[in-house]
Amino acid sequence: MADVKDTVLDYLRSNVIRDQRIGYDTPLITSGFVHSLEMAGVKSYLESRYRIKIPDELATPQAFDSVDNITRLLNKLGVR
Amino acid sequence: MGAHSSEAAEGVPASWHSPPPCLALNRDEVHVWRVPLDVPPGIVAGLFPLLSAGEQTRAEQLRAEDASRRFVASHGALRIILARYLGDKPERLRFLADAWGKPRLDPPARTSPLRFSLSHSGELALCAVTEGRDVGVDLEQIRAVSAWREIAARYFSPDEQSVLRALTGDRALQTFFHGWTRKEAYSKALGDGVSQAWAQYSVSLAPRAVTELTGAGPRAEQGRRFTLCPLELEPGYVAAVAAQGAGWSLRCWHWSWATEGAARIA
Repeated sequence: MADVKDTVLDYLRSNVIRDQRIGYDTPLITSGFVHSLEMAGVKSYLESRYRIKIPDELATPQAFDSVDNITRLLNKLGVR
Repeated sequence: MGAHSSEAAEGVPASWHSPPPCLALNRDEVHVWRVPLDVPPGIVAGLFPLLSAGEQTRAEQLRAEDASRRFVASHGALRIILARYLGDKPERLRFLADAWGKPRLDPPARTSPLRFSLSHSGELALCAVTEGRDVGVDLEQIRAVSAWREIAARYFSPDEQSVLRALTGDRALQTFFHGWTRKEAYSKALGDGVSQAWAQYSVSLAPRAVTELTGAGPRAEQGRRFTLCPLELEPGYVAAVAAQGAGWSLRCWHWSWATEGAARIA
């Protein structure tokens, strides 16, 4: 299985931001790259990709604000 | 959950007007301001000092192309609009966020019943203002969202998904945006974020339909009623406002940087 962090980064670069300059620690929401609709799309993708359920209380803007943060969230839900 | 949705008979107001010099906000009104964000650097520079230190830092940290200009313009306009209702100076306004992140005024000396909601997308912002009535507004520039059908499958009710499945192409995408803006406006009025509980209630997806909701959503109190109203904008944008109660009047104001803006920017 591909590294979780790179899987998330590839998805964002290919489907959401389409900017190869974003990195693991690039702010996504607070920088204005990602809005709530796109965040919902990322969440849907991750739930399908890893067959998990991300509870609303964990799906905060902060938890989705960078690839690093998203990876930490996935790790917390058992995704390695 | 006690959700109740009905489609009201009346349509949406057709146009946005220039505000009168003496603008009053009555308790049975919801005011929505349409603010163009494509402003020249001189206006951005004039607005910047109106923002709080935290807002200025946020604007400076924005890295996406044009995001900083749009942030300064939308938050600067919000301050000028609220200050106009309050008879105060835009730079004196202070904001607090509740536990769920919903911003509200932090009045320095007196209790203000003014409630507001701000949304921006593309080159437009909308600011909704009420007196003592919870309100949320959402604006989206219609754009390619690769996962929109997956999003609808998670956040739209079975009835809403059934409507979407019957549509194709641009009409399907536009209808999805109608649903998304209405649900997000309602969620903002409640002080919630995007939630999978959205799938437990339905809004009308018809372009001009008004929806009433009672007790819908995870934080809604039983019997608490809201009305959702779509807002007419130029092609390419979809928006909705949700406000507590029913029977309120919607008044739509067009913001002009040459008049409202210039008067407040030194």
